[in-house]
Amino acid sequence: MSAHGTDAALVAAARAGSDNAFARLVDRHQQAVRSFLRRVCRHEADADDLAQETFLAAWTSLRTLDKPERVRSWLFGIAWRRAQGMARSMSRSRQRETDWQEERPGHDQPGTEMNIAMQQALAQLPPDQRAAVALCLAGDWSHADAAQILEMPLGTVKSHVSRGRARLVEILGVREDDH
Amino acid sequence: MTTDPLKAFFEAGEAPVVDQAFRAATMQRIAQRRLHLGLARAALAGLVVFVALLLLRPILVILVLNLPASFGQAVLMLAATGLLALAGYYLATRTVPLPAWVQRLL
Repeated sequence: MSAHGTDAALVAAARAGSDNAFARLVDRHQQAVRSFLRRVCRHEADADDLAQETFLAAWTSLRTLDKPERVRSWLFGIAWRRAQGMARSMSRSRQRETDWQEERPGHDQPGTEMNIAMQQALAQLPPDQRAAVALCLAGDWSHADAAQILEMPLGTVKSHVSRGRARLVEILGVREDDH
Repeated sequence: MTTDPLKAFFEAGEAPVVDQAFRAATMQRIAQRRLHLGLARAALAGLVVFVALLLLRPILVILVLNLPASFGQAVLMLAATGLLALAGYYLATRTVPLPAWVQRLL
């Protein structure tokens, strides 16, 4: 990755007013943020809407970011806080905010069986446990990073991941030696 | 190397690596936010100027009444030029596209 392409360089350029730099940050982190939110939220459209709000909040408060090289964990922190507050406003804003998705090709394609099974299994976990699982098992974040993002003690995150994993294995009926 | 049996389930729910529609929608919301912030700042600045003029009104009235007629014309021309320059600046640095009928006029 070139120096101009690092997160820190893009944050600096975005702070200076470059929309192009911010759009590149969106491109770079949208998959991770949206995937995390899709696992935390029950509806894909709400998750994607929340992801947009996350990037909008990030753009608004970009100057408060202390460590530009850690922009991804900062984005995840914003996303998690937004997800926690989503339940209050989600239902009334769903239709209004997701109109843009109707223009996307294949927006109404059904998910795969595995995805549906995982969504149903995740829905049975408590929100904090779901978030810890989404970060550490699906997203490959370390327990320490997850604790920072979720603003939870390290021990709590480890416990959430361990219990969440056991519960998912049980619900999905996978064997530990499956490959 | 061991493979987590849950990994395949998680990978099935990944968002796309590249999504131009998501990017465009996000940047559009940012443009709207910028416009709203700009309008709020302009409204606040206008309010401050209005209040300042209101407070300075007694002094300004005395000044205007004591000005010679030729000086008054010069002040009017300077004010008109300033307004035109300000409008030109906002036109040149705008971030939101103008309506089609305005673009045709330009």
